[in-house]
Amino acid sequence: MTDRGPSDELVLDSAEGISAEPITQWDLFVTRLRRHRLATIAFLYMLFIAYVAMMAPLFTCEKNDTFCGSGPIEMSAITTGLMVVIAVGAGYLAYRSFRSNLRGAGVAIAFVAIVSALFLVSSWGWIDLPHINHYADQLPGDDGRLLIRIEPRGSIPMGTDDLGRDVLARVIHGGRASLAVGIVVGGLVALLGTVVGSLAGYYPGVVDQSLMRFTDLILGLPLLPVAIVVGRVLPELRILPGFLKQGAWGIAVLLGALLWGGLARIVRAEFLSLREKEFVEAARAAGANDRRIIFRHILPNAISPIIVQTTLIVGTAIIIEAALSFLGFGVRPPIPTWGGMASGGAAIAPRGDWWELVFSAGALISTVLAINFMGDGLRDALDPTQTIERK
Amino acid sequence: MFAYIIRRLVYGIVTLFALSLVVFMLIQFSGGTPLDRLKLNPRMQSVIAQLTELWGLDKPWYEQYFIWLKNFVTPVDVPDQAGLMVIFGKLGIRSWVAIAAFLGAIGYAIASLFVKIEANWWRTYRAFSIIIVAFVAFWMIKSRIVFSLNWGISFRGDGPVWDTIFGAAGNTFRLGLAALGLALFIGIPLGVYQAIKQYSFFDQLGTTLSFITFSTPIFIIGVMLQLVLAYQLERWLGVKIFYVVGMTSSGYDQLQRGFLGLPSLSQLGDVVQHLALPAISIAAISMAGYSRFQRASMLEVMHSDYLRTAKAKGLPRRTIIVKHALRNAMIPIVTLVSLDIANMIGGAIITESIFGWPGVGRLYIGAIEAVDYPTIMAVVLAIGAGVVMMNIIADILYGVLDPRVRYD
Amino acid sequence: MAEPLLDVQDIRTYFSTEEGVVKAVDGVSFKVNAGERRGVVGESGCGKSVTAMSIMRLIEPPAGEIVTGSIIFDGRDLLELPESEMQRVRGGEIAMIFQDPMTALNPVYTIGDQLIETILLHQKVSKTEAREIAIQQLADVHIPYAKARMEDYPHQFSGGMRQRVMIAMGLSCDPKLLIADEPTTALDVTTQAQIMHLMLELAEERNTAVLLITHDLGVVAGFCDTIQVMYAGSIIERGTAAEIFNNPQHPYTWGLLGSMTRLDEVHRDRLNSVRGAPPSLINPPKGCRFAPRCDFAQDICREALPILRQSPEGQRVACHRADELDLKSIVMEPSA
Repeated sequence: MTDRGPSDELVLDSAEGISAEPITQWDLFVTRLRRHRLATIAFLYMLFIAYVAMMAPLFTCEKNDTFCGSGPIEMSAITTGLMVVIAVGAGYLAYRSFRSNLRGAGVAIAFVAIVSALFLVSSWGWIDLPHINHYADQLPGDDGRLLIRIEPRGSIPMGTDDLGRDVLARVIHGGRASLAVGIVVGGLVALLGTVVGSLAGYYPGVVDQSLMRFTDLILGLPLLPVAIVVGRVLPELRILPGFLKQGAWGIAVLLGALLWGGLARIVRAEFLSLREKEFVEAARAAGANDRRIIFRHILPNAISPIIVQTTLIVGTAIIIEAALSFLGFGVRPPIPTWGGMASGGAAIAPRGDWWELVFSAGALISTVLAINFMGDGLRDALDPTQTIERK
Repeated sequence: MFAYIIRRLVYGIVTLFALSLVVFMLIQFSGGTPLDRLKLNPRMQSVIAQLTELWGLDKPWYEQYFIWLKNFVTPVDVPDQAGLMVIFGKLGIRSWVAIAAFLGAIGYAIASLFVKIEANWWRTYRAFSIIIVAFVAFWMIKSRIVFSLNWGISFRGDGPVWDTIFGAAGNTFRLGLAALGLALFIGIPLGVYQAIKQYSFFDQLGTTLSFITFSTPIFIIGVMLQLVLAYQLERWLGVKIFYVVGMTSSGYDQLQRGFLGLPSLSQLGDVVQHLALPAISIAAISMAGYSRFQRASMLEVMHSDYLRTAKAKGLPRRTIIVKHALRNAMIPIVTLVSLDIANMIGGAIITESIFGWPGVGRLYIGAIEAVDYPTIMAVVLAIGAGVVMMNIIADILYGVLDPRVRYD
Repeated sequence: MAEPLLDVQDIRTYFSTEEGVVKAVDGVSFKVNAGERRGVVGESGCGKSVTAMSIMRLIEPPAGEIVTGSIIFDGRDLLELPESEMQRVRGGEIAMIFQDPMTALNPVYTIGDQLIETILLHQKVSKTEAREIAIQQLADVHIPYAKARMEDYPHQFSGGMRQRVMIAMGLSCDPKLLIADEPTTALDVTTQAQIMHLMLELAEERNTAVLLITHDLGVVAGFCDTIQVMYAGSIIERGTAAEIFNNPQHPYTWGLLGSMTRLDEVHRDRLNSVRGAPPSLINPPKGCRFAPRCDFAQDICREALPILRQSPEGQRVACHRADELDLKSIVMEPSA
C-alpha cells in the first residue's frame, strides 16, 4: 500500500467548486433573533403601539359633535411629507425584511407602510376612514346628556371615565407620553452614557477619575425623591422653555439626565478591557488618531451592551414616568398619560368602574413587557457566547 | 480596607452636599413657598409677614441655603449633669440590657488588643457586640441623650423635623424590613429551586412570572392588591383580612398591652394585617429580580468543576448543594440587594402613598406638596445618607463572603 | 493469578442529545490489578474521560446513562450499589483527580477545610486527628510550610501546587485505585514532570493502582506499566508499555507514535499526522471505526467490527489485519 497524501477534505480547494457564502455579523444576529420568538412578537407589538400613538391626532376627532363620524383626514404639509417618507421607507424596509427571511417583521413593517398609505390617500379625499373620539372632550349621548362612566360597549370599546371622556382615545394618546419618554430617555442615556463612559475608559488618569467621580455623584442621587421634587416644580420653573414644561418632554429630559450613570459605568468597563486588545495597538501603529480608534474600532465592539442596557432603561423610564404621574408629580392633567389614568381609575374602581384602571394598566404593563422581551432577545442575539435557553 | 471606608464616607458626604444644594435650588427656582396656602386668605397678612421674617423667605436663595445649612449641622445643647442623672433614672429594663451589652462590647475591643482567639464563640461575640454598639449609638442619638442635629422646625407646624422623621422612619423601617425579608426568603429559595430543576415546568413558569412582575409598575401591584385582596376578599368572605390604610387600626391602643412595653400578640397581629399588603407590593418586584439573579448564579455554580470534585470525593448530594454550591451562589446576591435598597426606597414612597402608611414616604409627599423646606431637605438627605451607608456595607460584606476579594 | 482489583465488563455509556444518541463508550472491557499503573490514551472525544466518569458513576442522568455492563471493583459490582454505598466508595476506595486544578477546588473554603472534609467523610477520626492527617498529606506531596498553608485559600496557590493539593486530597483516605483524568494537561512542561514524578513516588510507596488518562504519550511513557489505546468509544490496543511503544500493532497507535516529535529524529519538512477526523459517535461507521482514516484499510475492515484479540507479539489488538501488517518496518511519510 502506498503512502497517501493529506486528506483532500482538509483543504478548501476552490477548484473543486466549493463555494462558501460569507456569513456576516448581521446574518448571525438575525438568525439568533429569529429563534427568540417572544422577542420578535414583542418587537412587532412595540412597532404597532408606537405607530398608533404617533398617528393618534390623525384619526381622533377634534370635536365630538355626534359620534364623530368619518371624513377626510386633515394633514398639514409637514405631516403629509412625513407620511410619504414613512410609507416609502417602510415599504422598502418590508421588502428587505422579506429578503432576509424575517417574515414576521416584514409583515409588521408592511402594515406600517400600508396604513401610512391609507392615511395619505384619505387626506386627498379618495377614501373615508373612520375616526374615534377625542380624548379631552366629553361624549354626549343621544339625548344630549353627557355619557359619564359608561361601561365598555359597542362603539365605546373601553368605556368612558368620570368626566365622560373616551378611555380608548385617552389610552392611545397616553401612549404618546410613554413614546416620548422612551425616545428621549433612550437617546439621552445612550448618548451621555456612551460619551462619558468611552472617554473615561479610554483616557486613564485625571480624565477617568474626574468623569467617574461625576458619574458616581449622579448615581448617588436617590432617583425617586429627586424626580419627585423636580417633577413637582417643573411646570413652575421660570427658566425653562414652554414645551419642556408641558407634557412628557420635561419629565423625559429629567429622567434622561438621571439615568445615564449605569450605562456610563458599563461602557467604561468595556473600554477598559478593549483598550488593551491587539487590534487597538495595530490601529495605532497604522497611524490612527484617538478619535478614529474610539469611534471606528472600539465602539463597534462595545455596541452590544449599550443596546441591551439602553433598552432596559427605556422600560424602567416608562415605569418611572407612570409612577410620577400616578402621584401627581409627572404629566399634569388633562393631558392623558397611563399613570395618571391609573390613578383616576384606582379611585373609582372600588365602586365597580373597572375599565379605566384595567385598560391603562394593561397598556402600561404590556408595553413595558414588550420592551423587556425585546431587550432579552437582543441580549441573546448580540452575545454569541451565551447559550440560548429553550423558550 | 479602613482607608477605603473612610474614602467612601468622605465621598458620600460630598454627594450629600451636592444633593442638598441641587434640591434646594430647584425648589427655590420654582417659586413655590410654604406660605402659598396662607396667601389665599387676605386676613393672614400680618402672619405672613411675621413668618416671612422668621423663616427668612425674603432673602436671596444662597443666603437661605446657608441659613438652612448652619441650622442643620449645629448640635443642640447637651443636657447638664443633673439632667443626665434624671435620664438614667428613667431608663427601663431594655436600656439597661443595652448598656450592659455596650460595656461588654467595649470589653471586647480592649481584650482583642491583647489576646488573639480563634474560637467560634469569639467571632460570634464580636459580631454581636458590634451590632449592639451600633444599636445603642443609634438609640442614644435618637433620644438626644448625647447630642442631636437641629434639623429645623417644620414649616407646616409639625414641630421639630428630627422627631417627625424619626417617628416616620421607624415605621418605614418596619415596612422595609418586612419587604426585604419577604423578597429574600421567598425570592432566593425560588431561584435556587429553579436552577436545580432547570427547564422544568416550575422553572419556566417562574421565569415568565418574574418577567411579568418585573414589567409591572409598583403602584399597579399595590392598587391591584388593594382591590383584589382587600376589597373583593372582604366582599366574598365578609370579614376584613387585609387592611389598606394606615399602620394600625383606630382601636389599637385599647388592645391589650404586652410584656415589657413591647406590643402584645393581638397588637402585633393588627400591625401585620396592615403591613401585609404594602410589604408584598414592595417585595414583589425585588423578589422577581432576586429569583432570576439567584437562578443564574446558581446555574453557573452548578456547572462548575469544584462541584464535580465534591461529588468525586463521595459527598452526599445535600451537602454538595448546601455547603458547596449555595455558599458560592449567594455571594453576588449581596451586591444586588444593596443596589436594590435604593429601588426599595422609591417603592416605599409610592406604596406608603397608596396605603396611607405613616412612614417617611408619605411624610415626604406631604412635605413636597406644602413646600416644607426643612422636611424636604431632611428627608432627601436622610435617604441619600442611607443609600451611601448601604453601599459601603455591601462592599464590606462582599469582602467577608468572598475570600478572593479580601486579599487583593 | 490474583483477582483483578477492577474488572470493567462491556461498558456502554450513551448520551441523549438533540441530534441523537451519542455512543461515547461503546463496549469497553479491561482489568486492572492491584498496584498496577494503567495508561488510557486517545485523542479528544475518544471516550477515555467518559470511561473514568462511568467507573465513578459520575454520569448524570437523564443526559447520560450507563446502559449496560458491569464494573466489578474489589469483588462488588459498582453499578448495582445504592447511591449511599457508592458515596463511600468515591473518595474512600476509588479517588479521582481532574484536569484543571484552578477550578476544581472550591474558592470560598480553605484547602485545609476541604482536605479535612474528605478525611472526616471516609475515616472515623476526630477533627483534630483529621487535621493532623491533612497536614501530613500536604507534606507528603511536598508542599512547604504545610501547617500554615492549611489556612490558605485555593487562589493563593500556583497551578502546580493546586494539583498537588488535589493529589493529597485524592490519596488522603488511602484509596486502592486512583483515577487521574489529564492531571498535567493544564500545567506547563516543567511542572508536568514534577507532578508525574510525585505521583509515581506516591503510587509506588502506597501500592495504589492508578488509571492515568491522557492524550500525551510522553506523560504515559515514564509512568505506566500497561497502556490501552482508545478510539471512538472502544479500546483498540492494549499491552505493556514496552510492547506498545516498540511494536505497535494497530495502525492508529502506529500513527500516534509516528506523529510524536522526537529529539533524536531527522529533521523533516512537515510533521506526520493521522489524516482525517474522528467519526461521529451518533452514527459510527459500520465496520472498524478507524477504517475511514486508515492507510491500510481493506474491504473486510469496512464490513466487520474487529474485536480485541491476542496478537502473537504479546499485546491485544482490535484490527483485522494486525497479523499481516508489520508496522514496525514501515516508515511513516509526512502527509504531503
